[in-house]
Amino acid sequence: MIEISGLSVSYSGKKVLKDIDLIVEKGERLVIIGESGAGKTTLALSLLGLCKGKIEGKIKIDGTEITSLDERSLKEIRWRKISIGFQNLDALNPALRIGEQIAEIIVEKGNKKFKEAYLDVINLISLLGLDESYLDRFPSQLSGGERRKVIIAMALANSPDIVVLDEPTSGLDTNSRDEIGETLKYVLQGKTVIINTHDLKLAYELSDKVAVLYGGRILEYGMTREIIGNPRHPYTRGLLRSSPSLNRCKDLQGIPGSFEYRERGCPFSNRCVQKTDLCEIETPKPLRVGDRMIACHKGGIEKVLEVRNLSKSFSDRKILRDINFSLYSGESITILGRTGSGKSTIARCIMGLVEPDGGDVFLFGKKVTERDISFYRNIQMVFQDPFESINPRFNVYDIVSEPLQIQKIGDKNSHIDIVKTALKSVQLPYDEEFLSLYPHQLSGGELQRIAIARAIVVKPKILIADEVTAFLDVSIQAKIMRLLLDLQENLGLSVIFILHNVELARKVSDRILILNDGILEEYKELEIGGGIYEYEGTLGRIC
Amino acid sequence: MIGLPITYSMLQRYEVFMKPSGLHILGTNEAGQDMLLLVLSGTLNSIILSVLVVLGTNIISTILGSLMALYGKVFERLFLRIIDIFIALPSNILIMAISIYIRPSMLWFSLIVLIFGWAQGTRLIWSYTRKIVAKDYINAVRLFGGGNLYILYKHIIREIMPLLLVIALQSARRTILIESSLSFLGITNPEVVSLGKLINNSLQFLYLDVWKWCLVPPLLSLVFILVSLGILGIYTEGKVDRRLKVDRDIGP
Repeated sequence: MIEISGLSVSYSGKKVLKDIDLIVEKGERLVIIGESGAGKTTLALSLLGLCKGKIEGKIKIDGTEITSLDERSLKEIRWRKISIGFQNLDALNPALRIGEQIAEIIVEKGNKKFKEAYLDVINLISLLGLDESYLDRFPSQLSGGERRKVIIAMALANSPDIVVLDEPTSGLDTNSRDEIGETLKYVLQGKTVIINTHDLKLAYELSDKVAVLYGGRILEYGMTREIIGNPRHPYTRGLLRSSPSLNRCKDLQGIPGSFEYRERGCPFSNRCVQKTDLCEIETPKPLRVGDRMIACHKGGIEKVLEVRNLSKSFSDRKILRDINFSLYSGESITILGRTGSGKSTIARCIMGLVEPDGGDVFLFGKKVTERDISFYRNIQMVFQDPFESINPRFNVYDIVSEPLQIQKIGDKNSHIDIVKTALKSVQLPYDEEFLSLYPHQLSGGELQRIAIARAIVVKPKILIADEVTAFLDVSIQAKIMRLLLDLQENLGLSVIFILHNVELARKVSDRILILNDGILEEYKELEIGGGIYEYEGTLGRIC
Repeated sequence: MIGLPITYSMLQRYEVFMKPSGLHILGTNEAGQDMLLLVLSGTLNSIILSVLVVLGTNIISTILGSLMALYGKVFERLFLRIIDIFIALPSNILIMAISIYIRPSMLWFSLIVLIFGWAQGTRLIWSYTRKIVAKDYINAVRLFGGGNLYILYKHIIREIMPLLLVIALQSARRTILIESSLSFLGITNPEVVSLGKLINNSLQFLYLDVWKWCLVPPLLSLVFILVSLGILGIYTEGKVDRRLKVDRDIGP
């Protein structure tokens, strides 16, 4: 069993790992997920005392504090208690044949004669799906995947209790990756395992627990199923969204910005959509929130909007019956339903255009009692028909600057700049000529972009897109949807799409809610396996 | 207002019933006053009265009509009922009755006509504003936090401008008609020169030749004013209607 407490590692004054606390029980498999530079390899090397940096904190393996051991004692432990499969394929000695290299380990550490050791090697190699002939080859004669297998075999040589694998599948093609994944599941049985990877699918398939590492700190840590099935840290969610193997429905989205080294404050803060000033000053410590440890001042992704018990009837017909749902920061959800099912009514009730019969709306946790200017600075809406939702007598500048005028944001001079920025972000021209055009001189697609620009000009946190492509051609529809997703990514918007098209909904949402006969149900992903999403709900398979 | 409306006492007297000549192009009336001047004065007085009423009607119609549509709910329903009541009232008879009783000056008379005439214009503005308010771009403005007064000022007024012309013409026509009718009946202020009164006075002298220049000019003038206002009204209404229709469908 491995106990890491308060581990910090620095290279020439720069801290690469900070305050790591992890526990791996005997027989457990932990995956450390992180992107390049996060500190995974440093962590792996520290476990074997191979790290060249300055170490603070403690690492205990089965009670022995290895951080205080000298080189001789460490040598005793390596490959008897704990071994490592390096990331770098050059860890193989190019001058020795494969068989000899692996046997060498067993001879030295297992106190066996060469012949005996060689038999073990043959067993080992066959476990990994390579036949005996490989043993006579030199590393240069093997493919990348085969070399990886050899490294794994080396790590398993002498059957250590604990195996650490550093990126066992990086650089491999999908087939090899899947193969190695399968192999590992089999050969690692009974061992205590720590695997470094940035491959989420591998992590999901191989491990019991997962720790997400970023900028040298642990951001989220808990049972794999929970963390990957329902990520609560914005970074983890971002990773999931960028992974084509796990994120099969919604279009790939990246995480805005890039890693910035910081001495204090949350390492993710410069890329976080829900950051506050505190996040840049004070480093959040991993705290237990529900079923996991999470390092976030807000306790993970926050709830931005909540609707409770919303109901509405129009002349005796109950359109909405006790609608309940929540919207989380930085996510996009879709309210899906047939025409006339009441989807737009939900949006209009939230926005205050329609008076509901009952129910409440909560914005950032606080109940909305009146919809004043501050409410409308946080949440905005784009309507279906751009020709109806824009005054035909206003020119482009008037249209986009109107919210600024009403809400008295900035003065006339700053308005022009804000308008131009908004138009740029919806990929429209922003020269004087365009600004003086009128709606009848523009196409539906352009006009809808202007409507979007108008909505984002007050920098809202939440955007409701009510069937915004219903009146547009299909090719324009794709562009507009893409635009909204990009805006979500870049501006950190939380978006509620209202759609009647399931296929489209799949492409743009993290979650889908179905409105049927006045009742809202969530399309839930139950299984992520074999590329099929199952769901709880009335409509059938979505992917 | 000094010198307005023009009263009989302001006009110089000459020889009575003079035939039309170089000096008096339309002759003189039974009091020796120049017929042409009388007709012009009567017309001018009518115009002044109309202007007063039209101004009042338009202001009330615009503000009340659009605010009714913007605020809606109880306010709208209440005033719709009030409008219905006022439209249903027999305005001409009531104006007559009130005028007999209090003998109003021009200013007060315009007020009375306004009271019985504001409802129609208001309803017209209300029904048109309602269509505008139902549009999503008004909703969008509400979503930015724009209040009803902002919406009225920035989005509604420009749209209903053409309607105001229609209302003005209708109001003017109705006002001149009721005023002339009452002055014909002798109910209005007898000092004020009015086409109706001129007509009535001349009717007494039908048996004489003088009707040719005492009756015909004021009669023709009145008919001309009312008919042209009527035709203009129909014409502008048609144009405005078409233009409003086109605007609503603007765009591909």
